[in-house]
Amino acid sequence: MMRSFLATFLALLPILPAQAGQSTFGLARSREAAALGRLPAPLEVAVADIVNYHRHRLPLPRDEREMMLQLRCGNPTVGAGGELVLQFGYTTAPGDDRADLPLLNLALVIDRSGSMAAANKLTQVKAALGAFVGRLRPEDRVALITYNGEATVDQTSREVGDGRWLREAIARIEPGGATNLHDGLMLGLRQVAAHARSDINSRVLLLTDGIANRGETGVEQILADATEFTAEDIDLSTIGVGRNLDLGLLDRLARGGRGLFHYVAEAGDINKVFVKEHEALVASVARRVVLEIELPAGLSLVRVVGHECRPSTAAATAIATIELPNQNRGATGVVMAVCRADARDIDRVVKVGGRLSYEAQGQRRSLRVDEEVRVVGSEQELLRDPEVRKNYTIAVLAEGMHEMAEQSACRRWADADRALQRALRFSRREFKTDDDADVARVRAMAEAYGKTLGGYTSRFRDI
Amino acid sequence: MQIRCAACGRVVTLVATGVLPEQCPHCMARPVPEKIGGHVIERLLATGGMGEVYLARDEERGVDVAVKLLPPPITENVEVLRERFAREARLQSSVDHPGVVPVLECDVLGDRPYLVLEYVRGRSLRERLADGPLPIGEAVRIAADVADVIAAAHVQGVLHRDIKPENVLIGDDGRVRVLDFGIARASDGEAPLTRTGEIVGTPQYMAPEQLLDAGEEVDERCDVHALGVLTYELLTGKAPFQAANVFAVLKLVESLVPKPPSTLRREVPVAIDAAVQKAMAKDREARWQTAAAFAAALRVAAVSGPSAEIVAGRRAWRRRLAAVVGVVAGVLVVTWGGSLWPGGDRSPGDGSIAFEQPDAAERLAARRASGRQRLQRGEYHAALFDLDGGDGQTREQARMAWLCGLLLLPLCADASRYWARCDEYRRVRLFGAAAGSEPDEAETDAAVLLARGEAIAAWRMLQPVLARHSSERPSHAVTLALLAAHLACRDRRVLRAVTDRLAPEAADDVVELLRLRLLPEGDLAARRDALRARAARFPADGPDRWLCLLLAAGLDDAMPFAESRELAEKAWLNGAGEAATVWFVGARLRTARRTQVPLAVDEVARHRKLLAGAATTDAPAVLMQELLLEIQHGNRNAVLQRGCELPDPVPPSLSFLDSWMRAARRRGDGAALEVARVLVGADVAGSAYVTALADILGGRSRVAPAFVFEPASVGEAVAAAASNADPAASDFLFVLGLLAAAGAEPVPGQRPWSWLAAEPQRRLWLEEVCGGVQ
Repeated sequence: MMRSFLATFLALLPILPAQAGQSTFGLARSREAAALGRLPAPLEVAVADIVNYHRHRLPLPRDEREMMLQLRCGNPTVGAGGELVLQFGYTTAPGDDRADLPLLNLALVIDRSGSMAAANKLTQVKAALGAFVGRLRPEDRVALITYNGEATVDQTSREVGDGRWLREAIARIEPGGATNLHDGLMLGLRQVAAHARSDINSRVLLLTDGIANRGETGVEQILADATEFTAEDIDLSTIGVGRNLDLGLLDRLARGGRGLFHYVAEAGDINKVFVKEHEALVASVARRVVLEIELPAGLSLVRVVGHECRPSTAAATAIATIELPNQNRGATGVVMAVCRADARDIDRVVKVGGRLSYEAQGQRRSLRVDEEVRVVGSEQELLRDPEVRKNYTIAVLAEGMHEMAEQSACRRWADADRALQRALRFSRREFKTDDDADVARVRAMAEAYGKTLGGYTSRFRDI
Repeated sequence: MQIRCAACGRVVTLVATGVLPEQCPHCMARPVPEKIGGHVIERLLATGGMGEVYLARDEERGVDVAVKLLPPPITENVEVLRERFAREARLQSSVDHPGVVPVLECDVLGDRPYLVLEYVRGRSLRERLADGPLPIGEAVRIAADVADVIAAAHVQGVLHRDIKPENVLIGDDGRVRVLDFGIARASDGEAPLTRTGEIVGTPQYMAPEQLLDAGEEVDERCDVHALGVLTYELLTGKAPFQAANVFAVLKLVESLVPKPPSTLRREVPVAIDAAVQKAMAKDREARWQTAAAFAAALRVAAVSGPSAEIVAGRRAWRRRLAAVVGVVAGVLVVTWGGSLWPGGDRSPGDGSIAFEQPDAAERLAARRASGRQRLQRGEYHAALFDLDGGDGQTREQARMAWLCGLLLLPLCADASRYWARCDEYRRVRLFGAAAGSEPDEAETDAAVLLARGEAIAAWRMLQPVLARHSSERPSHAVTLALLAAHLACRDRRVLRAVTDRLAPEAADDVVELLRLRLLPEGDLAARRDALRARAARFPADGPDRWLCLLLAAGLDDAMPFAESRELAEKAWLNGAGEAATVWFVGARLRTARRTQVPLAVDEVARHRKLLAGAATTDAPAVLMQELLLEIQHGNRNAVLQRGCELPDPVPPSLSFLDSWMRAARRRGDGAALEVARVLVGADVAGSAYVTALADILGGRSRVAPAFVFEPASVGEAVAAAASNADPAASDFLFVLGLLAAAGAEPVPGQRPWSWLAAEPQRRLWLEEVCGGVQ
């Protein structure tokens, strides 16, 4: 039963590809955990990644703009004391023409430790890098850094030209030794920093299959050292290959560097990250993207799903500020926020709003949206808008899985089960069938966890 | 703590509660009269905005009473005050409910009115809340009981107007008493005694309309609001309206809709959430209309809510109560100037913008703080999860929680040390890497050794710390030393000596646990009761309560399998990890051995199934095999011969003993082997080292024969060992002395104690544990 269930759910995956331009870590890792019949670590259930794994139905930017912001309410009529779900959707222009993209200043930092020899990993990486180089423009700059116990600059930063020099350098990489991630990363950051300019796209791609065990290994120190560079104009994306990874470090490095964390379970998928998501990796159209949520008096913000947010200081009405990763071409994403209406304040119309600001082509730009919400005395349905219903349901499922993972890490199986079942109940109420493939996929994952968790909760009952 | 001198009226600051100064530093007269209204003042119980509360003796009736002495009037004349006080007495007396403390007398001392109340031994809810939020069942029961009292007052037409944790007392008998009807007033018929523009009450607990104090606006529903706030605080440990200053609080009370309690504490059932939210509604029409309705709603919510723990929590609300009554009559009187609210023109939405989502750092800080509180309360297993993953001091606290929860607790129930081997994963994480890496921190390394079961080595390491121990030493080191001494030595006299000498500096709960270990050996009932009483203090939604009950179950010959399993299941579901499995099987085995009634065949099969499903990282395969062997062993005699203890594996770094023995065997050192042989024979089988010695001595059987311990033979063996020039022998001598001391009455001047006395450090030890050397 379990096997056929998982087979069905995994079979769904190839026909539901992830959209480019979003971090693949959250869903890939939690999907893998579910399929393997184990419970995930909290970090492996990245709520925002799961919500944005599928492509959202959102309008494209207009008037040569790089981004577009849309606000939808779960239900524009809210009962006093009740909750209101807001969906802030954003998209970036697709555009296939790469000529107008800023020049690239890239450093490839590649792990060549002994473990990369296993399962043909390094061979796959080399093949993927070769294809990747083919898609770069002659005037883009690239540096190649490899590391094992020591880090070396195999090729200093220079223009790609015909790319032969780079292909030859890639072919020469041989595996062996330990993992000095810190030194490799620092060399890469320095190579990029030497040529960084505000009008070009400077980025480091760090690939590793292991945990730092030579040189500086302290996570906080590595992060602090990287931040010295990423605080400026250098972005950082990370690619983790295999299962023996310091997920926390790679995730935090990518977040700090406004980049993405890609997780590749099998060596065969490395090619996908480098080639299919090439655009996403290098074609960032908007940087330092910040969403501010604005609420009127009488509405309070309960939570923003899957994002850390901080109280806003920018405007009198802005409540919370959320930092989003750099946005690449053709990306869609949503931020779901939950508010509560003041119980006393009824029969009035208020405006909720949001402001998205970002940097593009050396300038800071911003977009604004707002929507009217009517506060009434009677209780109202939470989700009437179908898009918001879908995304919020996925968000609730993802949050439920995350909560389950947190409780499971503490071995509080009763609480873990409660959190997961609560989310599943919600999803079944909102989506009675599996006709929506995106909801069905996430729900199948949650149900697979439920079965695994059942083995824990029933341990004593079964004897 | 300050009181007002009864003679000159000036403020006298006291050093500590209960100690009354003889002379006022200002006027040199006696600051507290010996008697107030014929009651002999014994000590100060509490002070607060509403005056001082003394414990006094009513000599006529021979009972204790509480005397509440009001400060002299500042802005009001004596008559008004006297009137207010008399009214308090009248109102309080008019409410006929056991939850209202009866007023015995009401009079004036000089210019200070006083009330004489029945003295209730117990603890205020504020003091209870200092330990963190209450178990849900208990919080709901108390809140509903308080609501009952208030409902009874309302029936008499009396409003309380100042319900807050300080004004609710839980008596030693477990009953709720509501205090301080000081600002209560009849809901009709009596004119308010407050002046316009004055807030009487405590802002955090006041209803929005009470803040406006619009005369007739204030009715029963203000008290319902305060009851809602009180319940919220009991459930979450946090008052819903908290701000840096009183004006900010006033604004919050008016505009903030607090998050439901379940957002701060997930296990709060939705029905309770709804009941509390409704009680705190801004619009009084939307609230429960009476306190009785609120009480009923809470009770219904508690039993119909999804959490089964609530019901269990109700039964287990009793706690050990301190003998101090916290009668704090805290009435905060704030004069508000109209200018703070410009033109009185407040739109209802002002200030309602709220940001409720804490960031990751705030969440982590809250978790750590909760972990520290749990550690202090003795909820070691729950504390471990909150403190896990930290570094520095947090890591030390996690280590202490691990040592106390997983090592000390089973030992206190007289269980085997191998019960601690159910959390290997965390043990390695907490203690694995640090051994020897921080040579300056003796305490740290001692903790590592203790976690490995190397108590003697830890004890040795901590000796220098203890040699210079004084009150300045951190209690952490002292606690570790206590643990080490207890684990190294099973003799109760020695343990008592150490416990008594060091207790004041160690953590209270640890000392309490160690004393549990000092209960008479055969007295299972006392131990069981103590463990159950301990369990009752812990919340039902955490692991500690169920693990304590599981330990107690191992001491209960009549406990059926199903009930033990239920305890284990609750422990397991609420975060106990593999301790639930290992302790459950262990408890069943202990009972079987003690009663000599073998486990039923189907039960054995169940245990096997259970153990097969346990995580091997937490409960190592070796341990599982041992347990399975025990279970499979049809031969009860063999099990009985082996005693209740399974041998610990020899710790790899127990070098001084291990290498000494190996060297002795290599050399064919007959004398050393003889020492070991005698020790093996000695009836100190509790020590793992004795069994380890037996193992080392050529695969000898681990069965401890019924040798009679003879100090003389040990003495001779020691002499033989001491004549050996091997330096490791002197270490062994120390161990020997320890074990010998554990097994027989110390006879100073005689060997082996005289050997110990010959060296300064060991002499110190002897003085510590044996109370002196002649």
